[in-house]
Amino acid sequence: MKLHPDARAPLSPAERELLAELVRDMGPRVLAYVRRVYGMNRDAEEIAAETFCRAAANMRALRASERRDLYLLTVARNLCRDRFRRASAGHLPEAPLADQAASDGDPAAHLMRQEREQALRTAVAGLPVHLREIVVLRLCVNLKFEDIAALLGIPLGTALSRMSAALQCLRQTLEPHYDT
Amino acid sequence: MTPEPPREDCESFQLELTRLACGDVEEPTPALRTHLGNCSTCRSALTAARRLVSDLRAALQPAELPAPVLADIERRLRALPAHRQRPRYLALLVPCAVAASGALALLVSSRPHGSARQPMAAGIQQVCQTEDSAWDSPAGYALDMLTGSADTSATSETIADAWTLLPWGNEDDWDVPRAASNPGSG
Repeated sequence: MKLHPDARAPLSPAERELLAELVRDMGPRVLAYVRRVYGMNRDAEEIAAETFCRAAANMRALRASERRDLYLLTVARNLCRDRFRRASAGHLPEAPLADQAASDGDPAAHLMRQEREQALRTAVAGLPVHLREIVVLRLCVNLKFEDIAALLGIPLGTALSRMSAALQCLRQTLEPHYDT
Repeated sequence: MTPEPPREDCESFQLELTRLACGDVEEPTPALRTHLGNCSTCRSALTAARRLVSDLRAALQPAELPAPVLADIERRLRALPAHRQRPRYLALLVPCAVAASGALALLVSSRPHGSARQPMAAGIQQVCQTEDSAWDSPAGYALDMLTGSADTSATSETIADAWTLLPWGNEDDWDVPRAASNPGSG
């Protein structure tokens, strides 16, 4: 991504470069996190965009942050929670929408893979939100468990036990798709 | 054949197995390795969990940001205010600095400058050095008041005439009326 240089822009060239780099590296992960955890298809894109604007408006805090990925995810998480608090008096969605897998190669193999991936995404979407969030942060956003614990403000053991419970739950749900 | 370890042992390794399945650690600890060597249930659970995690990674892989989202981010960034808000301490510091400099400027301008003081001092000196100056005695001041003139060229004769008009004598103390200084007379 290349941000347009603008003489009246409030950001310095170095800040714009930093932001462009963050949008490039973290943009897909922020959007995926919002989509997978909170399931807002149209709103997810808006929240992803808003996340980077909030970061730009608080550039001092962003620059001072040692973990900018965690900073951005925290902003995105707060935006999501605020939106749901307003919209549904605190009820987080239990079944986010699953997106479409990319098509390539053998149509039959692609169809089988697509079917399995769809089943996996649906199963993840069916998890309770506190388990779903751990799965998405670890396997989609690719955070370590220590970082997940820091982001969510929970002990490391809690993060690990939630992941363990989520995997157990998914294994039961997806049993028909796994022979063993 | 080695007997299967008790169920409690399996539960104690549960979190470590999760870390291993998710790829947080590369190798099991020696204790877990020993347990896995003896426990077929945990071995198969680890294999199944690794497969599930691998499939989940593929299914949940983040896609690139769609072009409309990128455009939306750009649009929002360009719509940010042109000037970022100053830090709070600066917002307080600037008015304080302006007030302090104003007060200083007022103080400096109210004091007489060296060029203004010099003519004033010279004038006072000139008055004091004038021959027959009416300022030599307190009566001289009264003379000026009577004649309505501060003329410094007043002569001894005009001063002597002036004494006749005053309630003080020439030798009297200047601020004590004659009657009061000489209670017997008048």
